[in-house]
Amino acid sequence: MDGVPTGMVVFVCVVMAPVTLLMWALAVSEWRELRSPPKPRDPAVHYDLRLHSWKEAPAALHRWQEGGPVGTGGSAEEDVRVAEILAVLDGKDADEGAGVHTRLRLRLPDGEETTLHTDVRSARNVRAGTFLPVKPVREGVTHVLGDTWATAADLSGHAVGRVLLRHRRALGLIDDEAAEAVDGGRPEDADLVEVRPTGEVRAGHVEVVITARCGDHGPVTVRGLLRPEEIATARHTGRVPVVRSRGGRWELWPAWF
Amino acid sequence: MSTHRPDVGEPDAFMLAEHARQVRRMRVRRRTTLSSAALTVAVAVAVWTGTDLSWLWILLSALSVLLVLACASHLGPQDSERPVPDTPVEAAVVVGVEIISWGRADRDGFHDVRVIARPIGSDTGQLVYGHLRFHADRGCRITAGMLVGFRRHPTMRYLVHVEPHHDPLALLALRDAAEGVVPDRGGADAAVTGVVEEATVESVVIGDRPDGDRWATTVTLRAADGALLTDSRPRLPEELGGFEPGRRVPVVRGGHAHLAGRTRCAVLPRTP
Repeated sequence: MDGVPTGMVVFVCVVMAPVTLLMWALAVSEWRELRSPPKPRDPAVHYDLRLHSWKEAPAALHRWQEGGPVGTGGSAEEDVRVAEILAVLDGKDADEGAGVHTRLRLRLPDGEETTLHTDVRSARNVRAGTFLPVKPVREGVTHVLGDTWATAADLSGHAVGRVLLRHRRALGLIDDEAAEAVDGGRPEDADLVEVRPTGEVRAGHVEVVITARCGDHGPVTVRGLLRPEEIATARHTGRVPVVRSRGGRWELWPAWF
Repeated sequence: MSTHRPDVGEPDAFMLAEHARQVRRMRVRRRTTLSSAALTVAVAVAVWTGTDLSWLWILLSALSVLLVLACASHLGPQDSERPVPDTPVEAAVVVGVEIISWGRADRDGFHDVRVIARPIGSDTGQLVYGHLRFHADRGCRITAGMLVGFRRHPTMRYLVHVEPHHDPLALLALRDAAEGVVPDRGGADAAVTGVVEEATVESVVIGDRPDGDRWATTVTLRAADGALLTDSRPRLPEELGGFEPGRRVPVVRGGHAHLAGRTRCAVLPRTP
């Protein structure tokens, strides 16, 4: 006992005290929650969360996931490729609350498949079928888990948006005028009136013509390509995010990832 | 389009019984941990006043015990399985997938997923949901546009029992029955005699007028022998993701010509 320096014991106590208080506060709040009667779940609540992340502008990847070596001085956008997530595997809690360990199986634009390890803090943008900007691991660097690609974690939010728009244009998921309108724009909420498919299906996206009412602007009609779950999100929240181009045309806000 | 969400309804007897069980567990746990915490503090004070041990070590020991007790107070979810109802099986289109045990796979490595679906012929507000499982090593393969079979819980508005295994031909028969379609597959029961072949999607044409949220959809496909096949039925836009031109899908042929030169067929639904 005497061998351990007092300073260290004080330090441990200072760290443990707030943690102990927090754990007791969590226990008390759990007890309080049980006081109210149980309520059946409304499945449409899922779509409220999906709409919330749909309306967000693309954020830098390091805001919601970690993993892969971060480049020095920022990677060039030219190195960045947009992969499609084929499967999200594992899903085990990481230590220290850093997120959830996942292994992503990706398909790169040239068709090659690869695996990438990452810790995800918010799983909303990480689902099979979504897009993920990645960059090759630097030459001479060996990733500890054998990955050859890493998430483009050092791109700014705006750069991530530009990269994703370029990818969507290449796949024919967005036209030039719409891409210009959404780049750096902010969406407005419109009340959904009708969703009509056109028959076009491309890259897992379904083309729809959406009629909506946008506040003071009255009825608007937008045409765009959405994934099936995004169509369901608009339908079961009754709202769809739209943005106005400089030319005055209304465009559908894309789901970015 | 209505944004009004129907009321979720009242909790049924099963939910109330489970809640009561959880409350009883909580009361016992709370009594135990609170009295142990009080005892810890009392012992710490006694040791401090009664002996000449350093107060710092007493504090450290007391904090450690209190932290362990706080963690032990946490109950965790209690998942008793509802009994499977004996209501008839119905078909529904998957329109949402939500992984609910992310970060907490069970001992066998399985995650729980909440599947949200629209029963065939339902209105916008008539969603149902149920639970399925998938292995963490394989990832979740369930996507919007798949068909699932489910049985309703008579006492719950939205919660249903989703069948864990699915036969596409049986689901197709359920769908036809719900849509009032008489399957024209040589008069025989497709589930027993349907010959499944692969065809390539060529185009999708949408009708002019909606039927609720659905639109009359005609999918034209090219079979391996060059024949043109068509599948016409009302579909949600959420179901069209699997009909990209060039995609190969399994179909069952119909019995007679629908339009000149084209044979009626049914595209087999994708299932989890």
